[in-house]
Amino acid sequence: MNDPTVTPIVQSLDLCKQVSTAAGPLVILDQINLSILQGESVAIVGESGSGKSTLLGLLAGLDTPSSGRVIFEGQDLGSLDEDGRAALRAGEVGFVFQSFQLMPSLTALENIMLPLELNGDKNAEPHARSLLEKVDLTNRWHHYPRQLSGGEQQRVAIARAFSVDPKLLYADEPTGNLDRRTGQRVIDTLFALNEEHATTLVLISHDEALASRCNRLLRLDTGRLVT
Amino acid sequence: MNSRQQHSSALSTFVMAMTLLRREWRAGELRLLAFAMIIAVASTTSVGFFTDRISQALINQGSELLGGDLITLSTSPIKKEWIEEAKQQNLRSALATNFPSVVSSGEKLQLVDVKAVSTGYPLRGELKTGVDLFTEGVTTTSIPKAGKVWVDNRLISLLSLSIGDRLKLGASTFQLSRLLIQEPDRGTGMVSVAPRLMMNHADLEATALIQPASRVSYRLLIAGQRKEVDRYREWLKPELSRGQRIITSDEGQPQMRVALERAKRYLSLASLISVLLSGIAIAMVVRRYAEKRFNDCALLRCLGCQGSQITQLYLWQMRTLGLIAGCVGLIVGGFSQQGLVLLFSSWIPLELPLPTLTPAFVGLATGMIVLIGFGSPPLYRLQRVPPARVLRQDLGPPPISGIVVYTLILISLSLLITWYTEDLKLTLWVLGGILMTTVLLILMAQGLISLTRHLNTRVGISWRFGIANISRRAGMSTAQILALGIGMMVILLLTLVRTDLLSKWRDSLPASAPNQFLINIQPDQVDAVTAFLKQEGGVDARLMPMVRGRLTAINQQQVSRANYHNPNSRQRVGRELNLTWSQSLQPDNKVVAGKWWSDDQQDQPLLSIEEEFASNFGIKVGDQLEFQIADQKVSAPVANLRSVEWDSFQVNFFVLFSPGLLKDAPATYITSFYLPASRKPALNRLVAEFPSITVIDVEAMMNQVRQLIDRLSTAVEYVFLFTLIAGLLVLYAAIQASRDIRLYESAVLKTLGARRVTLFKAMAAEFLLLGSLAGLMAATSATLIAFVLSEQLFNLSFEINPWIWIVGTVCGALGTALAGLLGARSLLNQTPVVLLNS
Repeated sequence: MNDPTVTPIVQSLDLCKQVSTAAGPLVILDQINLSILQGESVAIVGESGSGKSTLLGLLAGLDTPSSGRVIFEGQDLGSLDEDGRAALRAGEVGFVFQSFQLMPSLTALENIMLPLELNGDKNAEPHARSLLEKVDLTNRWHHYPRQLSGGEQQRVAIARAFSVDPKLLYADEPTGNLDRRTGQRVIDTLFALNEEHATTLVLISHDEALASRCNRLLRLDTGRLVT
Repeated sequence: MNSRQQHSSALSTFVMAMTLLRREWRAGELRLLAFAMIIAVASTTSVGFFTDRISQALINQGSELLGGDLITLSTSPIKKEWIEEAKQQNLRSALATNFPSVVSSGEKLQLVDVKAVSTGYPLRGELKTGVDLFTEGVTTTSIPKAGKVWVDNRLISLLSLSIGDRLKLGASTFQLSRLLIQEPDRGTGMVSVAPRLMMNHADLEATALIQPASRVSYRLLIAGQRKEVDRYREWLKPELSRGQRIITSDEGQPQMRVALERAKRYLSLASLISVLLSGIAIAMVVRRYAEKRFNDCALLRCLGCQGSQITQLYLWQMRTLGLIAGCVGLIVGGFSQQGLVLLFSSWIPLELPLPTLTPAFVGLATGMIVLIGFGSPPLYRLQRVPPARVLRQDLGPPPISGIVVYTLILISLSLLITWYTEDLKLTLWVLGGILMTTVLLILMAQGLISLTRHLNTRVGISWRFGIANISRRAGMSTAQILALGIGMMVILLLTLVRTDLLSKWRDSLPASAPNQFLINIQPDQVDAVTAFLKQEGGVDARLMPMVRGRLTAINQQQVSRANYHNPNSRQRVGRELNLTWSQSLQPDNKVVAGKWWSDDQQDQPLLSIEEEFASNFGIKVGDQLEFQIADQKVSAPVANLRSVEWDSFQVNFFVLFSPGLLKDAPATYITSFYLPASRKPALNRLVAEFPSITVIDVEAMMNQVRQLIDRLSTAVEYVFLFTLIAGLLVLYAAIQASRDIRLYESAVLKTLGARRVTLFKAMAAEFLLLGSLAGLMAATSATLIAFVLSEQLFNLSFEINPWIWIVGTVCGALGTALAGLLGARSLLNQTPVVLLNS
């Protein structure tokens, strides 16, 4: 996987994050150096509170580090402001969250259409419908998130993440809010679509079995990368 | 990005905003905002349509007092071309020619004020005639037929006439056919000391009374559509020569002007308050809406949306929704005011003209200004929602800078207030008042909330929990008490305080206001007349001396017309003034600068000047004024300036001297008093006993003023009804504001095993306390505002009404608890799972 001809899609250099608390500064991430290559799937595992979600936030440019750098497609995220980072993500990066993050006022179909419409896609609806079919929710297109089960909501979120055909997909504990069986189905859907779209996948999980489905595994322990 | 890309990006944001708006509308989220906007625009347009129609009606009422919409006064005959031009411009016209003359009946002669009118007179207002003395009379649309005359009560008494008698006037003889009871434009001729005789204009020439040197006042009365009247006035202005002038319905008599001025202030204040309340309601609704959008915005940021794009996305939604809801509001406003007109048609004594389109435009523009001014700040917060919120729910946007929020609100407020009141003094008062009240209310709310911390020691668990909630959520409680307090304050102002103010205003012209004036009383008749009035009329009249004089110099500088630009001052220069002297200040006068003379100053030469007269001439306390009285020059310094209640109908003077100074000047006496209709025949005996005295009966004019005040008070009450609705909307929005957090907390508590009754009691305790605190604050601030309004704006004396506190606190507590618990009823009945999932 460390083929020097393949450029990393995202890498972190001496990445640190600390926050100030009443008891003094608290280090959440300490000197994280990693490199994720185009097309690979990487799992980041660790106990609760090990800093997994914080790392994902920093890699995706959702948050800013205390020190160190994140390079996405050759661009240093630290040199960009909030809007610059958002522009870089548009159409390139997809997300699947533990708490689904669907817009409650939009139907399943409209939630999938949203990123397409933001990109000015004129064929947003047929495109979104074909994705709904792939996640096996064709009949639920007009349902609002509150009318869907947790597993169904997550499948809508997965369809939404793949709708813009992103180069990189971040999945933060995608099965964390689901029972085992539903979680399995969601994960199957995720990996199937990932393969079909040849997307680079960064998966955050505390579930070792799930993590083992990825090409590579990185372990975080109290803010440090141990493997 | 090049400009084309920018354009296409802006366009796609707009398209996206519209798509989202359509979807969010369907999801029901935006309906509350639309409802708030509909209410805001509907209430403002209802107020707008009402005020527009009422002020149009008042202008018409003003026209009634003139007999037409526009009057041209002339000392020379009215030109035929003027009448022709009026006809050309689709205007109605009539002539009224006034002059003094002598009428004879048998052996008796009497000076009369003749008024010759042409067909159509009066163009506005009512002419009433009758056959018996001292009756109400009936309205007529005709004028005296050729060869007939109508005369007033006084001439009947003076000449002992009865209907059918013949009268000689100049070279003609007329038959008395009816008694003239009321002329609409009689009030404008206060100088008409002689009794009235009305005749047909066609008979005028035959009387041969009008000779080149005759003192005749010619009037051309014009009426029609406002636009055409305005156009005619513009045409006429350059045609006028010396001795000719135009009077329009907005320049009535001073009494009428004061009443109209007060009414306009009441009305603009009423509409202003409903606009402000709508603004508060919108701010609360948008704030809640925006807070519920934080997650969506964090997600949009993850999907690559720019901050400005997010703001535009929501601003476009708000503007579009505002415009659509505003249009619905216009229709609702139009219908509701029409519905009210129909509902209360028998109570509205004025005939209301159709509304103009201006209030529709003003209402919509007001709604948009309020929506943008009060609603934008929370939306600007959305662009600063950190994208990392998708991972950590506790991350929110930084609070928006207070300066930005307050500047936006202040700008929109100033714009609206200036626009609505067209009065800088009122704008400053209201703005200052709002700022002061808000600061005061916030301080009071915070103080009261900190006091509640000491309340919760000896009550049951549910009450303790409810009361503790108030201080636990101090920020939200402050906002809630503030909003509830403002809503209740307005309702208190509109119910209790308004009733107090309105009844005081009505009382300012009591039923016993003087309706008779006696002038030309000679000094040697003073005692006899006073005794006569006491005995025959039961009246304690105060006879005031009156000396005629001219103001000739101010601080040794000659008073000349060229020195003044103000038409009022120019008109008064060189005119004879009525002067008087007095030891004490009259009850309806108030010293506004300087001091009233003390007992030991009685013999010093001192002056007291009415404030408006003083400002017209630029007179200040300490200035030395010189008057020409008969062949004497009298000079004295100004000791004080006075305000005068001209609408009290008491005898009042612009210039008052200290006693002693005018003792030797040739004086006659004047008085005014109230005489009930049953005692009016005494006036005839008075005139018979003291033939030189002139009696002026102002009963008809007073009735017109009193009726106008009544109509205006009714109008004000209608307008306040909408303000009341806006106040209730604020209360509703304030209670809704804490619904989400209450929803979550009650779910958690239920999960932990709290029973419905416990939750119910806790909520009841919280709402009761919130409501009573808000009510207490509302009563205090309403009293303060009422004090400022009555003292500073309406010149009425103020009394504290202790009921405001009792009603405010009790009704505030019960009303808030009832509304809050009704709103929260669904929470109590839901299972915790449903609540937690939502």
